Amino acid sequence: MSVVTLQLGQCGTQIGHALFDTLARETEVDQASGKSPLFDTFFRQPDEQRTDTKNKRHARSVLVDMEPKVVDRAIVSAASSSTKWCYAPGCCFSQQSGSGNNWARGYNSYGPTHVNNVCDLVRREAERADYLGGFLMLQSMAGGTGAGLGTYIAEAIRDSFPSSFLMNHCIWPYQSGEVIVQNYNSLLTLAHLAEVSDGIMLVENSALHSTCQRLLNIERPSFTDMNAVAARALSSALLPASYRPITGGTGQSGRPVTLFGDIVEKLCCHPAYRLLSLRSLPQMPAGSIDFTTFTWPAILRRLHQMQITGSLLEEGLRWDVKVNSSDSVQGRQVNKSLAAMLVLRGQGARQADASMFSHPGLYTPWAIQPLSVASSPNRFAKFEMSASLLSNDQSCANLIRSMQDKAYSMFDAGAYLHQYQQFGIEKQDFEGCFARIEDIYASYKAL
Amino acid sequence: MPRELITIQVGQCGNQIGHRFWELALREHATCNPTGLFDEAMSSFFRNVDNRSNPPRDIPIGDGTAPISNLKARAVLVDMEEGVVNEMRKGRLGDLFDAQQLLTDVSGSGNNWAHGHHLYGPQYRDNLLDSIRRPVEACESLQSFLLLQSLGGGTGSGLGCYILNLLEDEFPEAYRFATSVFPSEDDDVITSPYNALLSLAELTEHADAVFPLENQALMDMCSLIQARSNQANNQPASLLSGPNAGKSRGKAFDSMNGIAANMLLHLTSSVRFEGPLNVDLNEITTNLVPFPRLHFLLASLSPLAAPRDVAKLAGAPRAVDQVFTEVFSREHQLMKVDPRKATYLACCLLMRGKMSIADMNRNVMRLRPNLRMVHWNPDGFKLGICSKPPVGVPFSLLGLVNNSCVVTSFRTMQDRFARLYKRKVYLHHYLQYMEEGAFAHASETVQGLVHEYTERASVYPVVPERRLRSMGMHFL
Repeated sequence: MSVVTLQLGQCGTQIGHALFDTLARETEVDQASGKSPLFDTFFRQPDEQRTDTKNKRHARSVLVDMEPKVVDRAIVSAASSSTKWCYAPGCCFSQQSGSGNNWARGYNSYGPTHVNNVCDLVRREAERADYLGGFLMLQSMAGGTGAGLGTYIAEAIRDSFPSSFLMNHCIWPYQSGEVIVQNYNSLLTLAHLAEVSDGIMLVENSALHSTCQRLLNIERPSFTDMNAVAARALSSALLPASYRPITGGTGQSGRPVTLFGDIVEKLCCHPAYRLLSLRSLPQMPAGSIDFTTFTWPAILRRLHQMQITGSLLEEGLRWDVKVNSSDSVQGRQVNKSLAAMLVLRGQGARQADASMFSHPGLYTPWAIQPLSVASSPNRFAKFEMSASLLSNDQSCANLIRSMQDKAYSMFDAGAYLHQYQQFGIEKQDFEGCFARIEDIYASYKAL
Repeated sequence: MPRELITIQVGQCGNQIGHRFWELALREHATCNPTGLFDEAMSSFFRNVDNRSNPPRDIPIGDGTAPISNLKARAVLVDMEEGVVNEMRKGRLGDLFDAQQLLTDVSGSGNNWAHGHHLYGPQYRDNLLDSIRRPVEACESLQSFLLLQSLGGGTGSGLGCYILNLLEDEFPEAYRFATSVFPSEDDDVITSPYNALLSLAELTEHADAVFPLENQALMDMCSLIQARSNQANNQPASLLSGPNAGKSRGKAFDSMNGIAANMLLHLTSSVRFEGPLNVDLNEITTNLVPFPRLHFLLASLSPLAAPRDVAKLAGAPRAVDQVFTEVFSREHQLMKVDPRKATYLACCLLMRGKMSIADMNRNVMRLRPNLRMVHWNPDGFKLGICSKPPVGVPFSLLGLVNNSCVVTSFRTMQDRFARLYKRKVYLHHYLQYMEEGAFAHASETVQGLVHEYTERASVYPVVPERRLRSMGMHFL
């Protein structure tokens, strides 16, 4: 079962590179057959054996950008480094002119012009797979290419592959601003993706930044550090795992988790609720791993509190918020989820008791069997024990609210609208997207 | 194959700034290209030409292993008198320019905007088109034009604005950036108020973004550099103003032009070199121009210090913060205005060097509370990082700000214009080539611009915000 990845724009390309690095490092290649199940999911054998590529696997990936520098650099660095993988030749599509952070340009101008070329590349990559599990798109929401062109490509893929699963991993920009028109770009992207995507994983730049600073002790995090954190979180959710009972079991391991069918089926079952958040533990500098004692209750308790408070960071948690359905005040502050998938990795992962996660106060009343638990005996990133939680919950809605306020204020002043109108996005389009975002926000608040 | 930029230098000032620009550009590329191979970064500004064939043919980049044979700048040099262009041709940079890239006349424009715009413009239209079309056709993917001019004289302002119109008609896809030197208080050209205002009206309507420069500001920056260099004996002048700058009185303009040239190099660094957060020129217009006519961007550069001080900067974390503080201080601005008293509409910080996003964010959060941001853009910062530092400095920062303080400069221009126009002084020189109605029109345009800046920059919302109501799950 294979997943085809699309890396869009500078952000998508850089994160994708970090993701493939992490995935390649984490898998153990079965020496006898030379194959390993995960390696096949994200990587494949080269079409023709060439001596100069040193028998490297090719990533099942298509890189798209409207300017050539980042994509070229990624390809060269993957080919020359000592990793076991590189990008296939001819897997990338780049242009010269750049999107200028203009969503309308990416969507209305470059989209229709280049969609055929990009879809061709995607189709060829998909045809090489024996069993296509779905598409994973990596993009940022603040820019022009990842956001605008990415959205158009997502819609095109939905048209060409109507029964395949499409997951988007989107980077939400810093609250303090890195691009001035990020509010417009992010809301336009989200409104459009909510219609075509099966699941949208929102990852905040500020959360990654805080993780690097406070948990990994990197005083001045660079994008490379932040990309590594995001890649680790995403890998811990996508690496293979098998189902197990919630309270832990000692019998045979259940069936493996299928990408992306199981994730979509269990987490994104309702069309109004597609936003996923990713939390993974532990986060610590590599040097501290040898000096830390890991226990399952400690890890699971912290992850549980992160889920209750909706926090993305394991530090500074508010321990006073508890799940107790009888207490209405506390009940309101709890971060309600629609569904959640917990993945435990490492020693004793099958036996650890995860029943605290199934407390009905955490979930919306109409959810049936909201929690699934999977485990894998393999260690992840050298941690003896690690856990990650992929959940469809209200924490994403709060992100939306602050961005909406800023976008409305800019829209009322009429600022930057002429840049979008130049490429055919008029005020009505903006208002339509804002209305859809309001709907998404209201649905999550009503959970 | 990167995006190419074509420089169009008009008039004496434009050509002198251009001269400095090409010197510094060559030096920058020479420093980061030790192997002498023609790479993509150079291709933005230069063509690699094989002179052995006739006519000389362009050598494409290919896979980046072609050695540099003969470099030609992607530029067009226009002047209505020959002195400056000839000096450049005979000087060290003469080989950079083909004869077809130069357009000169003999008699000059007599500091008369109308002479440049309405006489020379139409007269030389075909030649101009030819000269511009040639470098355009040599480009694989033209991104923008950089126009270098001054607004006080006749050729730079009048013919420069005519060329701006021409570019808009013939090459509407490419961006038009104008680096315009605004006349200062003690400008010795008597008709400069007319020339400046007429040009300002044209720039408002036809340019995508304007980087105004004021001679007074540049001169003050040079004195600052001089003062700091004097403390260190026998050190070369600031790397920002380039070699041989400031050595003699007569070369004072060299250092000033060097600062302007450095600003342009910094602006285009992300187009040429790679970095963790690239900022293209079209991203600058998208983020910094909220309304089509409000596109006057105040530039400021840091550090300016002499190399010895700069060497201390490397590795000192406080030094990074110092650079950010300086960019927002008045001494480092290329225009003599006070942005702190006015409202910031948008702000862009472009960093060069091995800095991380954390440094930029930390400083933005530190400095933003002291700035008055417009209400609909409270976070309005665009950040960019390019990995390659400029020559001799570990890092440097360019700030581009869209601030309503430029209005003070426009109002001064309007006052000076009104003083002359009231008495119709020297008007007959202009009326030989244009109608008087054009003056009123230009005056109105500039008045409209000032009004729009003041209105848009009001810190408090004028109209109450409306919030869209949720319509329920209507799309299911």
